[in-house]
Amino acid sequence: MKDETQLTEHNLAQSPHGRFLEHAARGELAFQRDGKGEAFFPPRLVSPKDGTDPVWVVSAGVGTIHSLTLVRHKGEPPLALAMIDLDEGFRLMSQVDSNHPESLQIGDRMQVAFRPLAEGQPPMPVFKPLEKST
Amino acid sequence: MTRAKRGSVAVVGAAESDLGRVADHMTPIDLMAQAVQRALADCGLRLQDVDGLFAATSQVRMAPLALAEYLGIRLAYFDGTNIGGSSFMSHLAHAHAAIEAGLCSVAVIAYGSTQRSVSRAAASPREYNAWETPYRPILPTSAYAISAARHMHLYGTTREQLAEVAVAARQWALLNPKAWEKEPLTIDDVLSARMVSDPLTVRDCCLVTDGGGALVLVSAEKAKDLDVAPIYVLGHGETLSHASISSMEDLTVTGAALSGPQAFAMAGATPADMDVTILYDAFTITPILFLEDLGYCPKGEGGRFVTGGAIAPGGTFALNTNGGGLSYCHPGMYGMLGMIEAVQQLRGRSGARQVSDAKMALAHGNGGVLSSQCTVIFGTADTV
Repeated sequence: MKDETQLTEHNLAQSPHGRFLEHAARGELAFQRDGKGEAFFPPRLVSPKDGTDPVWVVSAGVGTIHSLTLVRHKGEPPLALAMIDLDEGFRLMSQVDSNHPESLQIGDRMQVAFRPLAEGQPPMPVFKPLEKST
Repeated sequence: MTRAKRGSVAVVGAAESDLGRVADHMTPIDLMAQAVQRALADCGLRLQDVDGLFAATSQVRMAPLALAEYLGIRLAYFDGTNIGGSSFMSHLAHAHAAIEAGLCSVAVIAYGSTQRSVSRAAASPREYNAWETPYRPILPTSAYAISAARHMHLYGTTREQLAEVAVAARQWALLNPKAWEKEPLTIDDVLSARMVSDPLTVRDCCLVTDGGGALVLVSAEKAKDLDVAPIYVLGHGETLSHASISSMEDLTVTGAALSGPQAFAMAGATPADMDVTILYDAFTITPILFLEDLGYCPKGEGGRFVTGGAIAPGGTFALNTNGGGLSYCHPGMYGMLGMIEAVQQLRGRSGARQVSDAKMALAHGNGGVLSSQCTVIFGTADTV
């Protein structure tokens, strides 16, 4: 006899990563909030700590360099790898596109941009110095 | 929560396997078995006495299976927990609980790695992480660099202070005949070395060597029947905080801030009671973080704590007396070798680098990217 309780009703149509990439392709930095409205990253099927269904939100894409390292891949110019604190209250790893990576500082304000990180890859969020609005 | 009892188990055997660059075609399990045989000989126990086995390595997914097969032993209890370099401290805590619960009576903990022989990339292939890998960090170095950069920003820690850790480790290593590095190192050598991921140069990074080791644990009662000076397990604590550096809550506070107090509370001791301290030095920033998180100095003071040769031989504080992962041996999961040094110091077997009259020692293990933190406190019979 078949035990129906062992089966899920249906498979999910989209993974958290898949949904994130779909937003990214539209130039949107998506993240999630838990049942208490707490922002978190990376996207998941279940909110960490509280176990609720996460709510998807699109970030304004503005944040601050929390920490930074220049990665020295052999035979390449230094690559600015940064932890970015977004203003909504989540943190992610990213790259900062800059002509002067040596002058980047923790605390610098950043804004998101999107580009493929390697040939044939989908666009992912990177950051560049925030243009000062007057 | 009921905790395992202070001093109810003891390390009776401890041994390194071959280290450095081992013979061609040697396997991680060969090195584990060699270390197990040496550690058993160290305490007069036979292979047939072993009924508990704890093992991990990055190169064999099911290490307890492979080692039990190799040794031809049937086990009453086993554990293959793999949380990186601190796995063996975790094994020791679990072995303590298992022996107390009567699940096994002679527990062996083993490690082996041939990462120098086969290359680091082959020994520890990195898992793909959709949120990090595309950004091309050099892991694990870039993760530790990100922590170091934040520490420097918040507390004024300097590259010279980081370099002091590497220089002190080298000086200790020159007193250890088994150490990989044989030449002196200066602060300038560290600062001018090839930059890998700012602020860490290649000399701020641990070695890539082969190696392994084993410990034998029995109840304090059983230890009395053996012709050895038992080294008692006084305390331990274990914490997991994250897997990826992007999910580390505070880049300058590690899980040692939890595992340390657990271990000290169980041992009824404080950092000031430690005659020898072994802190996993995967990178020069790590002992600085652990000195702070374990309570040897306030948060942010780790850089100043290590300056002026304080942690070098003849300094005020005996840290990483074997030369550490930076200059003695780093097969990838160094925690085992840190515990072996703590035990050998307490048994008075550390030769030219021996800390006189050492009675209590702490060994702290780190795994992943500051991800798993496990602390163990050992003591001689006088401390039980």
